Amino acid sequence: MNKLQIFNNGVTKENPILVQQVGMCATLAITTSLLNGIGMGVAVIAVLTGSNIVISLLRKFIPDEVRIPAFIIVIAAFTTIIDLLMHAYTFELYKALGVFIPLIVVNCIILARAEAFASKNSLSDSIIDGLGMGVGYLVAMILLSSIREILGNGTILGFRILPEAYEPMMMAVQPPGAFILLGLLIGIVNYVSRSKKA
Amino acid sequence: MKNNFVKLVSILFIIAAVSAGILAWLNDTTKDIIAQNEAMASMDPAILEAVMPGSVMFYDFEDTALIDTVKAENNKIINLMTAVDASDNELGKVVRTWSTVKGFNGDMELYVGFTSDGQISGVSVISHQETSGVGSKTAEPAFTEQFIGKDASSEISYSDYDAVTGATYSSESFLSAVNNAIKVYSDYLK
Repeated sequence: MNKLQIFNNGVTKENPILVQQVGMCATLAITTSLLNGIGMGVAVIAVLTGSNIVISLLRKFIPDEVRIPAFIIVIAAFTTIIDLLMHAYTFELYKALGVFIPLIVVNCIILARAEAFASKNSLSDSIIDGLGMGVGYLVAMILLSSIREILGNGTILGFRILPEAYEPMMMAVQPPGAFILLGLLIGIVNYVSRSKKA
Repeated sequence: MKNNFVKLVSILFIIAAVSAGILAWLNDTTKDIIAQNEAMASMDPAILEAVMPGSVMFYDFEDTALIDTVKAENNKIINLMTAVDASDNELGKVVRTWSTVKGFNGDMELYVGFTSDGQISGVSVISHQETSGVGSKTAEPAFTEQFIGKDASSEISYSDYDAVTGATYSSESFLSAVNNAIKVYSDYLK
């Protein structure tokens, strides 16, 4: 695989949310507004790329027997770094995302990339993989959170785009709406990717 | 086998220790900013606006020795603060104080703000135990706003303000807190 293929793999072919469907808990919970979606996406890119870098560098140093605890320590450290930085410099966003920032630790996509990719591949490939998967996550978060904010609030990034007369569809920003809209989104993505192949 | 075990443990230990070291350093660098964020979030915007229009935060005086001096001399004073706007420019001083005269049911706790040219910018009651509907009216803007713009170079006398009808004790307690703040302001903060 060349570098572009590795990147593309994360964004489209193995998109963490739309194709692999991992880390759904935070995805469903915080995509109530586009700003939250972007914030969460950027935090995941940072943790994913950071942990991929360190794990790729340490891949010959970490013995196979203790690799999972070692990965978890690295991932937890990066998550805590992001948590502290967001708490200090993006306080409003930090409060909006709440517990889901520390919960990035247990987001399967991060450990999955550490185990399946970074621990077996070179540093540069691991960086590309982290960025690709992270961007894939971010794109899916942007799609879902835009739809939910527009339907549920009539706004995008806080700016009103639908007329005042529009009655917000409350369900879109509530958990059932998250499931239904994500399901529809995945359905559309599947439809498009299959018709491409055919 | 035993040798291998030691190796595994030490590698894991090294990774954990390095991570902990980095996090300890970062925690130390960000903890002041985080504490400040939390303090800002805990301030009620309505109180900030009432005491010092345009302010976003009251900081404790950096000169803690001065706070201690004032508190030692005047045991009703709770804190001395600086009010700042969104771009961190100082707007004036804020004194947090108890009343020196008891109200109907006890002391009242107030913020009294002073502009940099020595006028009262606003007053807000933080806590009181006055009778609801009577003495509690001293905490309402209709009463507190009459103090805005008053000169802080001398104490406000009973003839200079309109007490709440039927709540003389509460009004006097409120006034005593304002005057206590004025005293500290003109002695130390001018």
